[in-house]
Amino acid sequence: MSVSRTTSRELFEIVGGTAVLPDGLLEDARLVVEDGRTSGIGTAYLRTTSTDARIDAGGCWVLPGAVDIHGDGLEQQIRPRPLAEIPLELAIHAGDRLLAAAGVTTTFHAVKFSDDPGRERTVKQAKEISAALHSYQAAEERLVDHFVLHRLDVRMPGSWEALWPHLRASEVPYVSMDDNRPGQGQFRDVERYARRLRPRLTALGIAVEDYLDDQVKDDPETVARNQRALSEAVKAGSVKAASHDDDSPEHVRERREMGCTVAEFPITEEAALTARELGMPTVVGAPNALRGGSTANNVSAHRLLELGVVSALCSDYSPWSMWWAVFRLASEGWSSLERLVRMVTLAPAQVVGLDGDRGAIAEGLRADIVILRPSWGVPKVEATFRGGRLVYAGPGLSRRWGSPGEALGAQ
Amino acid sequence: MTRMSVTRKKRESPLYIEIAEELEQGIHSGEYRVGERLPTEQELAGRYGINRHTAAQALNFLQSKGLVVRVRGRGTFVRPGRLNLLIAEKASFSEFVSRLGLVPSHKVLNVRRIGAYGKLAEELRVPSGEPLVALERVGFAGEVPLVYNKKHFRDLEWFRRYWESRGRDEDEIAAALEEAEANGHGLAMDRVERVARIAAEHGAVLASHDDDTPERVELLARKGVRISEFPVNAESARRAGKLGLAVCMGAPNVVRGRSSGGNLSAAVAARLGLIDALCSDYHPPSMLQAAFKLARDGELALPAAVGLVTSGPARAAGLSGRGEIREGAVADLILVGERLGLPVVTHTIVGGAVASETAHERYGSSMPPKAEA
Repeated sequence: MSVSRTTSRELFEIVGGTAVLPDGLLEDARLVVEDGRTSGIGTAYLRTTSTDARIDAGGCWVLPGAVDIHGDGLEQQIRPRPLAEIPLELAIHAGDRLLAAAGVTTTFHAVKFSDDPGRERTVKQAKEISAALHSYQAAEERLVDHFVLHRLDVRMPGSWEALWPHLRASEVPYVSMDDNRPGQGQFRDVERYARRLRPRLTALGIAVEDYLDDQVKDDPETVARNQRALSEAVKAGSVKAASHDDDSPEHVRERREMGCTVAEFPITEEAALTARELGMPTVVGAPNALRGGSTANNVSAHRLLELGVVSALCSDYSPWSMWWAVFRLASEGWSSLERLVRMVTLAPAQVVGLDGDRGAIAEGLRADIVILRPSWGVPKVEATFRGGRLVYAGPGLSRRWGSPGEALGAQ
Repeated sequence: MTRMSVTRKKRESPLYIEIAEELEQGIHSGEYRVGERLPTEQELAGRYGINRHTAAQALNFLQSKGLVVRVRGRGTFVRPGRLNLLIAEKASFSEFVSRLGLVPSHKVLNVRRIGAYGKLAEELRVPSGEPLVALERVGFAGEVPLVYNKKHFRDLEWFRRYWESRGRDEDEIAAALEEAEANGHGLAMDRVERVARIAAEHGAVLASHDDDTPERVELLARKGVRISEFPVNAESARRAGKLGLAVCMGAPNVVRGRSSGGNLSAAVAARLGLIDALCSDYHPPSMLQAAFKLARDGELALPAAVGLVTSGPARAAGLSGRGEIREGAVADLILVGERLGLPVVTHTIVGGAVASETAHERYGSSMPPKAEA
């Protein structure tokens, strides 16, 4: 079998699983994928077209690929241990693979344009990472889609200027307004913040007090200049901005006025409720939902789900957590499976304006599809398709297809 | 509301400093605790009958002293870390603890002889391998263990002088030196012997970690150690190899081109034929990358490089029947292709069954297999 990507029509079907569609579940589903897009949805016994190939998803969930709009996982790939930096290209390769294996087909890597010795972040590296992701995304050989969430450090002079060329050149320009000063926001408990940072800072040979000192320094003029620049870019159109770590209704309102239309990681109930009131979608960490609490002692995702103020769940620092959280939360009854699936697919796609292209299994949308098999309480990824291309296959499908090359269309 | 007693009398320092001092006393006395909010500018102005500007100056002064954090729109908060600021005033540990009203004391964890390598040798300007005296202690403030410290002395004579200066008598010093010898190479020999005995009883493979001198390696080899993992210098690795120990280093060390701890470079060690195995350490993707990098950089032929991440470690750990492609061996196999210039695993086969596959250039088409008729 020889199929060229560019010249011939690619047509295959996924049959037998339970598909999660925007308007409900479809058992014994049959999806037809044509040239990278979903072209038909029906039930398995109603076969109308003949396809080149068929994937048997019996006993599995068939879902849209997860859309992750805030992932810090790449930092772990680049620096799995303090002071141990892995070459960037290898880190991106490994991260790409991990995302495919975790059923995440679109990710926004959070890249902070900040010089922060305590987290071994530099503006220089932020630029390098953005550029590297940009060219990786241009390569057809990538497994999943990589975009950048540009994190503006409002305290840092020049953060906006460093970030802007990358933001402007992005296919999907998305920026967040970060203010990680201790004593407020996520780090309002200074003591806890210091305790959490200490091991890492110690490994890096940085005194905690010096670091905190540096962290609380702020020049109101710099903050205002960075914020103003972001507001103007939003006003000029095309750029989408999120507010980060809102700790109070006032904070949310202030950020909304500055042009932020998304609230990521609201850290109090009141902030999340205000965001909802103002029509700002909220983005909450899937690890928080999975672990049943925030690592920084902020409001738990469970509580926000109870209040009905979670729009989207993101990977935060663990890609696996997205699908795991969906199935665990569903089994614990925090919400319905359909709504939870939407929180990791269509809702985040809507936040960044990609919903006309992906985020759901629907005719005409990109065939970013994940097949999951329930296994020991943990959903196991059997297959990940990005734009109709099989980029990862787990043991179930591989075994069924026999020879390895065959599964991926060997020549 | 109390009014300040010093108000408007003849003052030796500016008013804002006096107010800051009073607030500082409040912090030291525990009236304001770490994380607590101090009175606002307005509250201070009211309390002391001063203008807001002066109140702000007082709070800013405290911030400049590092005692508080001022957060715009939220207030002024007491910062943790007062203790360390006191240390910075060059008080000795004992003085510092006494000033807190606690009893200072020290507990000696151990005294031992160690070889000077790497940074230690460099900083103390002694030849590599020179024996140093290392002293590890924990300092207590009352019942609280407060500081852990480790001192390295360039020789016995300096160590002796230091102990004399701390008021130790000859007997104590002699005992410490004896302990140093007994603890040669940083090992508690009674424990080593116990672990070795248990390992031998159960047929477990015993490894030593972070070997820093050939003497240490020799001593441990005699006790039954079979693997030397992460030797920190070539001398130790070489001795381990001579004694028939398997030498294992970290694959990320190869990929990064150096050790994150400033120790022996694994690529150099591989080229010199000093190592038998590379492990993932803290980064699994590095294993495959390291093998291909060693081959690509001409450090080793590909089969030898691959052996470092397959047959070498299997042999070292005593796993037979895996780690090589051979008839009768377990079919744990990987297929490696290339994607965007890097070697990537395309198929992982465990015990003869495909466990996972990833797209890659050679099999790059999106097509799943032909539908069955």
